[in-house]
Amino acid sequence: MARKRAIAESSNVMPMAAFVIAIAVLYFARQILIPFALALLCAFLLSPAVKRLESWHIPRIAAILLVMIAASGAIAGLGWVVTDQLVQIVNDLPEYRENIDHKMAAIRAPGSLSKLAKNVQDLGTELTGPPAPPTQPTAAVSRKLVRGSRAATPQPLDANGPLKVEVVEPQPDALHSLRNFVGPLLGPLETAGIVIVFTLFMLIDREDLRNRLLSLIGQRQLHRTTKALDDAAQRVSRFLLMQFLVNTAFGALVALGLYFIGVQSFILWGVMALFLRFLPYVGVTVAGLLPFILALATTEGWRSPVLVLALFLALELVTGNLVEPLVYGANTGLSSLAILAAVVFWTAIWGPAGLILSTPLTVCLSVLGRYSPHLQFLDVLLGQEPGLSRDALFYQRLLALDHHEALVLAENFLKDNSLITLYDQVILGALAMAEQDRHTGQMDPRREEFVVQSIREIVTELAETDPARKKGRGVLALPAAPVERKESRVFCFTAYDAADEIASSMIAQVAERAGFPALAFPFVDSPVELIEGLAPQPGDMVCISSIPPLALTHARRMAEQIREAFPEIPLVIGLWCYPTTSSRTLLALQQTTNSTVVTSLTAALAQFSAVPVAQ
Amino acid sequence: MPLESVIRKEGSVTFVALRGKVTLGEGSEAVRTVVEQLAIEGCHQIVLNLSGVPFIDSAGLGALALGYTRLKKAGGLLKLAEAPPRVQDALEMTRLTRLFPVYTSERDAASSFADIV
Repeated sequence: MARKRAIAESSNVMPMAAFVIAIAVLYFARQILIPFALALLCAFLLSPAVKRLESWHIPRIAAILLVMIAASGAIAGLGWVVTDQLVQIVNDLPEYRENIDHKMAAIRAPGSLSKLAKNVQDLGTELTGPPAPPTQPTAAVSRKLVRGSRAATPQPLDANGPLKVEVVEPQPDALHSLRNFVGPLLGPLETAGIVIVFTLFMLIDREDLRNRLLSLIGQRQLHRTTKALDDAAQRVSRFLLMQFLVNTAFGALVALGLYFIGVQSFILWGVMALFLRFLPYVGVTVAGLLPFILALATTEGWRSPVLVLALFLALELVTGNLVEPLVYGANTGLSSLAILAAVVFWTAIWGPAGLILSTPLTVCLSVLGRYSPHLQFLDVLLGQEPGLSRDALFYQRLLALDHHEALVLAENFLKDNSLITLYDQVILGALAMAEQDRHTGQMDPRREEFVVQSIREIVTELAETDPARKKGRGVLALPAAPVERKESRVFCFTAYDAADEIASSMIAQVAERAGFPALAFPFVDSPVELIEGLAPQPGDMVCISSIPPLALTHARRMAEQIREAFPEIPLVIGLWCYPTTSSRTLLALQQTTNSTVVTSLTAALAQFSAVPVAQ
Repeated sequence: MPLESVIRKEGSVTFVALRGKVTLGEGSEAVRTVVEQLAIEGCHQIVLNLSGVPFIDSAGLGALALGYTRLKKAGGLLKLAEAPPRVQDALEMTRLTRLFPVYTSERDAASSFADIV
């Protein structure tokens, strides 16, 4: 017992420990990992262009060099234009000195803002306690220290008072100035150099890298790894493309808005907004701040700066809350919340580089979770798909006695799917879960009755909709499908209980929509008598519906009765949602009853269509 | 709308007027129960008036077929009358009209029992 508990505890601790170690590695190895990840992103961006050039029979090295030179040229050119414009604006600033002073004076003037600040300050003082008694005027000791000289002459005004110290830096010489200017740039330049080299080699040896990765994971996982790589590449590429398109639209609207507001160099600000927006959350603030300062300096009054702020705020609100969640979520397969959490996480451990890389890295993690069973939690946490499968969600709503939301779920599913898909992927699964819970005694009678009644009502409502009606707004509207009427009838039998009866009605419905005249029966003790009464013709078929967990027993009993009385009648046994892993059991049932066993309505319908038409 | 049934007897024939949809669940169960109950009570000539039935699904058709076989086993007969076009179409498609022909009026359905007798 104690050993079992220890094993359970260790199985809980292991993933947690792995998670902590992974974060520690990401943090402490960031000097190596950041350039590598940035290079990977660059390789992703540039590889389509390289491939295009290669398809024109340009050698790979030449194609890579051409693309990298073009990309570097574009970045340098853009940087040049932006810097030039910025320098011009900075040079022009003295001309606007008077305007800036005027605005600063307006802020400092005892207006409403300063009054408000004073009131708040007074209130704070009153709340924190009585004002301190006026202290004796302290005579400050002023002492001037000049570094590098011993000419400091202390001038004590009061022996007990603090000394005022002013540190005066010596005038920097040319070498110091150069060091001050280049010093901060060395780090980023070094990273940029490593990124370029990494990118170059990644582009040159991209197949080799892929093959090494595949062999590292193992040849047994070849199919899964290939799919994972394809999926990650597709999603990251889509994300980058979408981000570029969204940012281009954002930049264009910024430029247009600034033009109408009357801000100088509006095209520059538009281009900067385009590129700065690649930095989530921070970029747009910087992009908005620069034209705001310019508008503040160059225009009279407050109208233009306020309009600039309003423009950025409105555009960012619409883009961030409406456009991006829709476009990125749909294209990256990540939830909007996951994107936000990713930004915070990656920025915390990798700084600004993490900010740029947050979404592509999270896409890769989500893909890893999708294809690796041990890391499935990543896909559940980060992915766009809801944590619960559709059938589980539908069943959960019914368990919560919420018929309306269950119906809405079915309606929404039907907007993009057919009725048979809804039954196969949602309702039959929910019925199977309900049966499982009922048989294990986990469901109280009230819920049991509600679940069965609700599903029955939904299925009945679906039966009444006109299949010829086009997809539309109508409740549970179905896609139009002109069908040919068939002669063969389908007699749908219920193996045992209410859940089987609902399933029987479902298969009758889908058969009907496919052109087969169908009759659905409740559970009957003597199916043979009923079939005899219906005077079956050649081509008529029997389908028995049964839902796990006791599907096999009930279905077998009924199938044996029918087969004995009607050796020739085509017999389909629907063990809906039965695990397909039990193929040996299903095969045995097929052989003993000379029937076809299916586990989905789609398969059953295919079977009906395969039966020769009656002459 | 739940299925309603109004039962009246004229001689040896029992007329059951149905009003509402005959679908999976309450509707089809009601038809089955009414026919079985009448059979137990010894009513062996039953006419189901379907003029008040706007819609019938496969479960409803199944209930009619089941009622027919049960009644037949008990030595009785089930006839249908005044089926609306949509219901008539469903009955013809499933060839149930070969088991119990649908009459245009209750009178015709009732008099067909006399022909048999």
